[in-house]
Amino acid sequence: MSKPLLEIKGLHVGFKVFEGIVKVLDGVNIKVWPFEKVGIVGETGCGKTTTIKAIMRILTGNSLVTPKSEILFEGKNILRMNKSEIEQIRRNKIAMVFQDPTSSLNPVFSVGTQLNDIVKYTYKENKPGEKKLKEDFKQKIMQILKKVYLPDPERMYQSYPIQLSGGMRQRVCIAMALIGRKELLIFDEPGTSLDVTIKDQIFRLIIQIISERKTSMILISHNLGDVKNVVERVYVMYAGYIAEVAKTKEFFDNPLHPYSKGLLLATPKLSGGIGEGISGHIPNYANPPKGCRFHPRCKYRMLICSEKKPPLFNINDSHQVACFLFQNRSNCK
Amino acid sequence: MSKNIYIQKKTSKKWENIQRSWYSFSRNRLSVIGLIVILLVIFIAIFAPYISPSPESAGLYINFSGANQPPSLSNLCGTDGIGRDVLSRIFFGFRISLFMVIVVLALVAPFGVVMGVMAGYFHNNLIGIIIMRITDMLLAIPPLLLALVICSTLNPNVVNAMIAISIGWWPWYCRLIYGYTISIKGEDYVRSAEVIGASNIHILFKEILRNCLSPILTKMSLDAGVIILIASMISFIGLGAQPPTPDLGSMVADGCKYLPELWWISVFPAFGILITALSFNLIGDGIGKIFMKVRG
Amino acid sequence: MEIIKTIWKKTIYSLIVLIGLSIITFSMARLMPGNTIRMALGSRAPEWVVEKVMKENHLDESIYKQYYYWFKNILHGDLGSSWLTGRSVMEDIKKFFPATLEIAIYAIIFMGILGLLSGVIAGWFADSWIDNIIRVIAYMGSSVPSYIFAIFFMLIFSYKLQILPTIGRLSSGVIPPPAITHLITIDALLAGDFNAFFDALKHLILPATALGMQPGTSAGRLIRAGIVGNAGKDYIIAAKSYGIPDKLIMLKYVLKPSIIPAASIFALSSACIFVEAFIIEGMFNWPGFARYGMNALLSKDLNAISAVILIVGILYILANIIADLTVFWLDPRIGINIRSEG
Repeated sequence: MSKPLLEIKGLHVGFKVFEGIVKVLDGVNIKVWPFEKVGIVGETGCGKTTTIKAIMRILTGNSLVTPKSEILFEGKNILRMNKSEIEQIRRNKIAMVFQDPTSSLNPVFSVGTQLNDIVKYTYKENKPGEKKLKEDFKQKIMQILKKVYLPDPERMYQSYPIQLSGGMRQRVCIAMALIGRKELLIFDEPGTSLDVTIKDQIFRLIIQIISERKTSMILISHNLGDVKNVVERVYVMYAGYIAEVAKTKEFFDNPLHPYSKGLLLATPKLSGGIGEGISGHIPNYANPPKGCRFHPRCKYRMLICSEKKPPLFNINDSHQVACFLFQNRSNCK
Repeated sequence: MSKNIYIQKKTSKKWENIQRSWYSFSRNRLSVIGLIVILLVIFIAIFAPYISPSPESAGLYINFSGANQPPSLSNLCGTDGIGRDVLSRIFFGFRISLFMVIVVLALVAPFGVVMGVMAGYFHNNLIGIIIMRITDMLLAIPPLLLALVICSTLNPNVVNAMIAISIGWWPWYCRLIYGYTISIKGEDYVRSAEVIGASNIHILFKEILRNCLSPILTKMSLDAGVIILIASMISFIGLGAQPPTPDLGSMVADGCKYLPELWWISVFPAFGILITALSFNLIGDGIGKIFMKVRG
Repeated sequence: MEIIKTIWKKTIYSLIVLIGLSIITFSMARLMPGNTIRMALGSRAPEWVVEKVMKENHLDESIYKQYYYWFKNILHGDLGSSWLTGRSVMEDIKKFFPATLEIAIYAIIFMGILGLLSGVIAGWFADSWIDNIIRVIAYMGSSVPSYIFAIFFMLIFSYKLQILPTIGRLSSGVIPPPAITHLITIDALLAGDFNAFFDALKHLILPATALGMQPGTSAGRLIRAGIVGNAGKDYIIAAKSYGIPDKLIMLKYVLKPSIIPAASIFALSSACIFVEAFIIEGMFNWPGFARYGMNALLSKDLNAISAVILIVGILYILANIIADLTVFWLDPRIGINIRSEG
């Protein structure tokens, strides 16, 4: 079996704040294979964006990543890379589309200026010695803007973010991520701040791009419905750790983790009913519960759940659950 | 199926906010230093008659035999041309500086804020228009110049200097609050309070002030530093405190005649101005940071 | 263009304000207690001189008439005659203004360089020892009024080190270059007279630096605060994630939004330099219009005072306009809102 493109092993991330040290990520394990589409689902605040930012190494200054954490991309540990290697990764290997397109675009520079700089540095290393002209860059930018179906690319180039609608800004952000030959594209809750029809368009665009470009993808959402028809595997994240991972069909047919079950039940269905919620709320990261972080809200909790952290138990080749309920079912690692 | 209900401990929000603000503030070592120094200056100012080595130096006192002495153990900052102890005069000078700052801010901030709120609320009315026109007129001239002109018109003394500075200063607060009032006036929560029937003035002050408190406080603390500088400039020219009143600015001016040999007569009062203004600036920065952190 | 319309509206409005201001200062000057002419001319001037000057200045008529005369004269460019010197105020100002302008230009240039350099370096190395040193110096610098800097510099550079002069614009013995712009440094360069150029520069350094230190360090603080505040913004993190190098991010994408608040304060501080020059020019015996204004203020020379206030008021309005224009230029959000509102 081929090696995974991206492998996150035991990622622990904390932040220094007023209350002390907030331990957000508590051992995250994620694998993404080449050309694979993976989804990460979880409620707001569970650490999805923190994980992604850790991959790109753009966490804020007060962040702490434990030395034992590993993020392997094509075999090399991103967390140990030096400045130029990381810049290479950002320019030519991995790209991210942020959650809020409005705050991802610099308001005092035109769209064209920002795109131009990205293009300039992405293509800088490709053919050393060959002088790239401004026109080449502009042409490339026009190509990309057309790719994301932005009308009137010439005017778009001169516009400032404030002049664009939410949907257009989202497309610009996607365009930025598409510059260069990337191997992994990460979408953080695309279309969250947009209305439903626009969000649908954006999703279609994303699916089209992924299939055309044959890159791997990580799609993050707090909404199970978003990932169902798009990704091949689903990771369920809760309070900074992976609760369950399975192939999409298997996950929706047979969710195992009590949290996953709760999520699926909570979705309102066309057939009627609002659905049940999961009582309680996400833990306080400054003082998280001992053992399994979900146990205070879990109706199946056992004694061991409040004492030890459940590892990911293998149910079968592609399905793993971090829950002691399935300890016996697993081929224990 | 049992329902787990979380009972959250009710902490007093206000106390927690104060604690949080203090934590933010105390993170900047420089701001804390500024606070300590200002407290020291305030202490010195209050107890000046008791802790100065020579309290009579602050008034009419002539001692030609001890004049022009360099800093020594008996006179830590030396003596000036008439034999007065410079250190004691600096202590009393702090009184005047702090007095000016406190009085000016105490006058200017409330007046400017009230004016701004009224101008904003009645901004389609004659009242609002008049207030803003007056504000703009006063803002069209730099505060220092206005103060200089007023001071040269009236008799030069400390009170008139304060009046002069205040006249030029309140428009800044008025304009600041006017902007906020205009933007908040349209907000829904003000309108809904109106619908419920709360009295207009009540809405105005509560909602608007609650939102504007942070920029007002930040501005006040930064202004304190600037006011010290402007006041010292006015006294330096001679339009402020008159002799024998010990004012830091006029002390620097007096000492200019004796430069560079008798440097201490100017340098120590200048240093007094420096540390007072500096501490206010540091505090102002710290306060600004608190509100930035609490918001973001 | 809509922006021009807005600026134009503002200018007209400011001029009205200035007229209102002139009324205030006019009344203030003339309603002062005491016989002002007597005070200006001194107690030894004979009575008939006092009466003559009073008649000339219409001081015996009602205040409205006085204002009418004054305003009428202004429109003809006649600002009256100075009671002290007897000369036309307009002539005096024309003679003295370039000197102040020259100081102001150099002070503003110094201010800008100081503010930008200190702000950017402190922001780039935020929280390191470099940042801390710069911040301490900046704090101290912005807490000291210009006259104290002037005293300090004079002590060190003129008295102790003896490398810089303190009096006037040129050393005695240096022939001023032919006056084209009336700015000695420019005129010297135009005439190719490098001796005069460097001499004039030497005389300019101390007063210009003294004037520019306080606003320059304040600007530096603002810029640093802006950089530190903007460096963590989402769009900067996004730019980083696309592989744009850190140096470019700092010098372009963080810097531009950071200087916007500093820019308008910078423009206003530039105007305030003209006022602080009142004191500084006196100290350096600089033949500028600010020293002229200071003397007028102290000797209650009404015509001169009113004229000086008017001019400084105009400069201040100009500075406000420049500040607004700069913000429009730098920040498209504001400019675009104005455009769409028409």
